[in-house]
Amino acid sequence: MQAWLVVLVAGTLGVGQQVAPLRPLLDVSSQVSADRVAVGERFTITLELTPAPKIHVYAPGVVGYKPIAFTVQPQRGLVIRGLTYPPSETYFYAPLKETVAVYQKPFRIVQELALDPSLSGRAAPKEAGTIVVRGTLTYQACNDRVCFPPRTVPMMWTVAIKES
Amino acid sequence: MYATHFRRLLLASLAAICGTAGHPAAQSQLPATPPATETYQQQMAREQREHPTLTIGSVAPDFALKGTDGQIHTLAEYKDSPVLAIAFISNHCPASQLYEGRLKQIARDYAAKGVRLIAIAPNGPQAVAPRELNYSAVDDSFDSMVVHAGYRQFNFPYLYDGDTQELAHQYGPKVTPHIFIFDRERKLRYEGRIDDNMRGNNIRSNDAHNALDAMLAGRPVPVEHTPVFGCSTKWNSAIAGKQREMNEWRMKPVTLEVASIDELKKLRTNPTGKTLMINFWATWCGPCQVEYPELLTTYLWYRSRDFEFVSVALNTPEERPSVQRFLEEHHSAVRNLIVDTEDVYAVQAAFDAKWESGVPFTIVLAPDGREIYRVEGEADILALRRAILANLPDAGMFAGNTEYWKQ
Repeated sequence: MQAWLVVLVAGTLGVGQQVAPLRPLLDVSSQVSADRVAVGERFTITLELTPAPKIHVYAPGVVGYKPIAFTVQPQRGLVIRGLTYPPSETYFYAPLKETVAVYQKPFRIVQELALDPSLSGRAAPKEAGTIVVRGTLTYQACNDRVCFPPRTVPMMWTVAIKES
Repeated sequence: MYATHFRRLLLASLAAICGTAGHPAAQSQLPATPPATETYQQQMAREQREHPTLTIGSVAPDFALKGTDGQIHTLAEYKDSPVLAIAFISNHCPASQLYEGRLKQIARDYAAKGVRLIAIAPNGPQAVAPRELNYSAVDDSFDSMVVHAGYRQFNFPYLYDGDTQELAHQYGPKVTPHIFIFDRERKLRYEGRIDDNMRGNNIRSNDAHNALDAMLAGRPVPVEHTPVFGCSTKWNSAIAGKQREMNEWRMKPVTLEVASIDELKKLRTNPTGKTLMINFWATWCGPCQVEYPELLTTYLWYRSRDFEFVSVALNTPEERPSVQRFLEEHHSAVRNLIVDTEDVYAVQAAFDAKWESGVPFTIVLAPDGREIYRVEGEADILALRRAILANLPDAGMFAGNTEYWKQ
């Protein structure tokens, strides 16, 4: 069974002195593939991302801009496996005659994970039969006349460990 | 007698330095024409040899020139008008600008009497040095003429001769503005200034009006030739001044300073005592890269006046090499800053609470800190320049130009 978990977004970097509200650029939600996972079992975290109208974010591999990146914080007991970004779109920025790989439409990033079945993995501290997975999404967004400074979105999921 | 002598000197000085006006230091380094040691008298003598002014009684040289309306205009087109006035003017020259209203008035007032007024831009755009554009929002290219004529709502044809200057060579305008008035047979009856006061508020000799009135009444023109004042005609054969200025600019080092949030807060108050343009940009911002050269050009044009430009890169400190590279590619020899923190949002909040965080972000501050222009996103470069020009103090010689840009 797939479960939608609440994504805890602590905020973006440097909001302490913010006066003007941050303009929404990228709607972020997430889904974990199972609400209970056994040791040794694989599961995925899927980020559902929707750029605001006329906004694009830069795809992995672009040079000169800040590509979107999702990283899971390594920890004992958690195996970080493959990370999949979808194919990007091509954005032609006429004033610079430049073609860049971007995402402009809703897209999905999938992170594959597993609970470490090794001895050390099993010995990792757990909280009440759960494991807390922490990750960070960073991205930079522009439209055709303005760019916004890179943003960082801290995220956290709590996954129950199935008794083996 | 002394008054007359002084007046001649003043007019001579005007013609010699117009375009770099109001900044004597700059003028001595950057005369309008080579060689650098040439006096005004020598310059005028050379100009007269190389580009003699059409003499009274000469027949109007024919022309077929493109106008800002996109049409080709010819001398024959005006054959039915009993009097034809041809004014050589330019976009960039502050003296010429100050006469635009009076030329429109002539076109309007004398139209019913059959007088046709046309304006011709004689300058070669490539011969105009950046510092000579210090009172202008546009250069002297044909495209800029279209913009300028539309903005100032010219009610007369505005024709371009800047590429070949073939017509200018035949008429020999010494400066802009310089007016030539022809009778029905298209013989030159008056040539010179429009009137004797650039500001237009204390005119004692309304020379062009006097000539027009006399010609329409069938009387002899009372004074057929008057001395001109304005900005020297920019001949395509004389681009040394521009090259000299650009070489001097390219010699300036491109530096990059680290700035703290407190320093940026201080910058926001404008401690420079001058009109200050601040542009926030980043290497990860395409629109910033697009507009940056235009901002630098704006600085190049106005730097001889009380004007400063500070660029602030919102890149992180470790991105400094890419920032330096960009600045060097564009030869940004202005005060360049990079913030000393990764917390860009804190920088923005501290600098300006109304800033919604996008870049490019450009703000122009008057010497007293008052905001005279701001834009998040690419600046409308014409609106930006007009706002600056409307706030730069007048130099004494071109008093009235600030007001001109407020209109």
